Amino acid sequence: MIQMDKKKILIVEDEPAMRDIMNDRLIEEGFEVILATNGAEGLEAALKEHPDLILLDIIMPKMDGITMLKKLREDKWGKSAQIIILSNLSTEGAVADSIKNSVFEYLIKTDWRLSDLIKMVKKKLSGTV
Amino acid sequence: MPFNNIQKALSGKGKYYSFKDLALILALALAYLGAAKLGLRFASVNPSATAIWPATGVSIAALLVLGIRFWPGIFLGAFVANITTAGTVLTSLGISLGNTLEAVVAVHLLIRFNGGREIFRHSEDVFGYLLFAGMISPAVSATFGVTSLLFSGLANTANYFSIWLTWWLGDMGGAMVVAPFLILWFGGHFFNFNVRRSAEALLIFIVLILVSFMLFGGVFHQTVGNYPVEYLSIPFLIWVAMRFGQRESALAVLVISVIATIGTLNGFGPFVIGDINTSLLLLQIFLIVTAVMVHLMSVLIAERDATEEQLKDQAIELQIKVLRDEALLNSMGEGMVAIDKDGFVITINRTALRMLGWSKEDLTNKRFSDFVRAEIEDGTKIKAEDRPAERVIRSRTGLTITKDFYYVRQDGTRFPVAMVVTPLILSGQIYGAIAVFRDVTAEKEIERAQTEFVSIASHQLRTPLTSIHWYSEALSEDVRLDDKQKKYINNILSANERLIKLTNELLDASRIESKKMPFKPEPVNVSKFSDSVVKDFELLILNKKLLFEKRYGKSMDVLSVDSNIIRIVLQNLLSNAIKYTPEGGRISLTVDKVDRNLAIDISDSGYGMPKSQISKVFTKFFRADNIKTKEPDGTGLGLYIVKSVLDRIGGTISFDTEEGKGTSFHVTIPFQSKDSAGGNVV
Repeated sequence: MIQMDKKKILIVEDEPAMRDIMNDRLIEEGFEVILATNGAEGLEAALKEHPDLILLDIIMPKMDGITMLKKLREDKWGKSAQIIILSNLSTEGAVADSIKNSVFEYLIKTDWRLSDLIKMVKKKLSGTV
Repeated sequence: MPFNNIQKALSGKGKYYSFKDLALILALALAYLGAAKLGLRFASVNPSATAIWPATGVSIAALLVLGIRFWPGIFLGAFVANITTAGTVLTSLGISLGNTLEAVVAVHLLIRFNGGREIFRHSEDVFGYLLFAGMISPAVSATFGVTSLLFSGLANTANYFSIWLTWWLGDMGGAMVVAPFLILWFGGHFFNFNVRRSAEALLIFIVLILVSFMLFGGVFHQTVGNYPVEYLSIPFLIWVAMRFGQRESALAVLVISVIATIGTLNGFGPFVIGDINTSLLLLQIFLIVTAVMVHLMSVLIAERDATEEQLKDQAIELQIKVLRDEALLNSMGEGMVAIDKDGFVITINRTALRMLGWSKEDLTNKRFSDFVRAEIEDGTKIKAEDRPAERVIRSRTGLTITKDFYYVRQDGTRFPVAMVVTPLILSGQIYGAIAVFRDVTAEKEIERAQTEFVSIASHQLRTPLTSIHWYSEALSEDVRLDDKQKKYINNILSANERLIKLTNELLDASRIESKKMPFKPEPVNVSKFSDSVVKDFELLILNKKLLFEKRYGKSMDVLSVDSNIIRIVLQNLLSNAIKYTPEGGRISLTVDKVDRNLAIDISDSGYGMPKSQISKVFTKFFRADNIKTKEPDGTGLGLYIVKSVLDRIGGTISFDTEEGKGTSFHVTIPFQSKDSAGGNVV
């Protein structure tokens, strides 16, 4: 695979174990992965690297996912960035906030097998979702 | 024995006369004799007929107070009086019979129609007394008496009527002047003395006696002669009637009667014209009219006083009731404010004032909405016409506010309020509204804490679960593992997935309990939606070789119902049916429209439930004994969640079951949930 074709995925996740396994699997699948451990880092990385897809956790230290999402949507590029919320928080408010910010993939981590998550990511990147 | 029989006959009631009674009869006879002799001294038209007959007063008073059975005393007294006056034994018997009947008739009529011994209770009693005792019964006596005289030759047809009239008027005078005095003074009433009033009474009676002597006693005889000045007594009689009671009035009438009679007999006073009998008759008429007037007035005054007293009692009663109601309202733990239909405060209780920080004087008769600001969560003021009480007054139907409503205190701080507003409707007219409210700050805090717990639990529990999930999944795909290792990893993975499922169910249950699960009825294609849920179970059904039948009703395309609820019902009931039906069994699903409900029936040919445990089926964490061993895996939350959700939206769930044969569940989901008009949050 040529470097240029590699899709860039930003994982914003504070839990190291989660970050690592997703990182490993996505690299295995041939993606370029950027890692961030909180919303502030994630925002900076996103605005600098312009990834093709952001996997965004919600509850994180320093800056939570919803705040990062809002700030990102203020940016010209960030306005249309592809995002999947990947969280274990399943409250009404969080879901509503993500929809308000044009994110319609709100996945509860425990409900997903890793393999299904990878399929979802691929679908999203190929534009069928 | 014969004596006893006579006694019995005489007493009329089958009672014997005691010695005391006989003594009373004798005393009565003597009293009557005395009064009769006094009257007969003034007889002029006939030795037996006189214009002054106090004896009638004695007889009526005696029989009314003592009882009709004492009539022999009257008869005896009258007989002796007559036999010693003029005429024969026969005329005396006739006259005595008339005198006795007079009293008996009067007393009988008074008891029957006029309140008996309470001779002047009401103003109409005075007229009744005049009719019965003053007119009818003297007519009896006069008729008997004069007819007796006629038969014995002591009277003739020419003077019959004039003798009769004298007799009648004389008796009437006795009945009207003497009897009330005796009854009121000696009829068993008790005296109550009052020094100040006694002094006034003494004064008025001295004045009355003096005036009477002036009018009838010849004091002014030299100057005014026999001019008709009798009416001058009237103001003083009115004075007595207005300031004192009936008893004093009766005494006043008697006093003026005695003085006037003596005066007239001595040729003094306004009634002295021509012969003595005519003068006495005219005087008699004056005295009778005076008696009626004075008694009527004193009764009216008494009635007025009684009414005043009653009103006073009622006013006190009302005041007590008001105080009691106020105490009741003030001891309420809830705030209460009643407003009229223009929004003005009618009453407000202490709790409400304490909560709002105003004093009673600040708010009473003021428009409530001018003083107490109502606002919603974000601080937007609720317009006066949109406030709950105003809405209730407009719609005339009660209202319950449970969320997003704040009252602002006098100091500008606010508190969340839950309230019930009831319209005040009096005989069909809307009069105002009563709001009963309480501060729900603490409840809001608990609610917030509950939400926080759910969100923390969901995140904190799931994070490690997800790690185990994904890592064991990744490991299980590793080709380097041998079969045994692969089996172990798969066991970890499936245990982990069970743990995730249990966590999710617990969170669902907790969210339903804390009312955090949103439900929104919206148009749903029910048959398509049901199919999508059933699809998830296809593999399980296939694995267990179950026969699955489904049947959807007609026109199930678009119905207004909450798809989330359908999902919860189908998922839980289908997974139960599959889990608890042995291989080769049968499961059927029916979804149809019944009235305004969506009806879902799910039947299986499974293990069924023991009868003894049927009542616990919807209890949290309950699992039937017979399936615990067959299917150890299960949380006992599924049916609890289904039932809770259905309860919230006004749906129902019921079931039939027989152990070893199977179970059928019947669910109804209303098309428009009862909360749909409100916040939609269940």
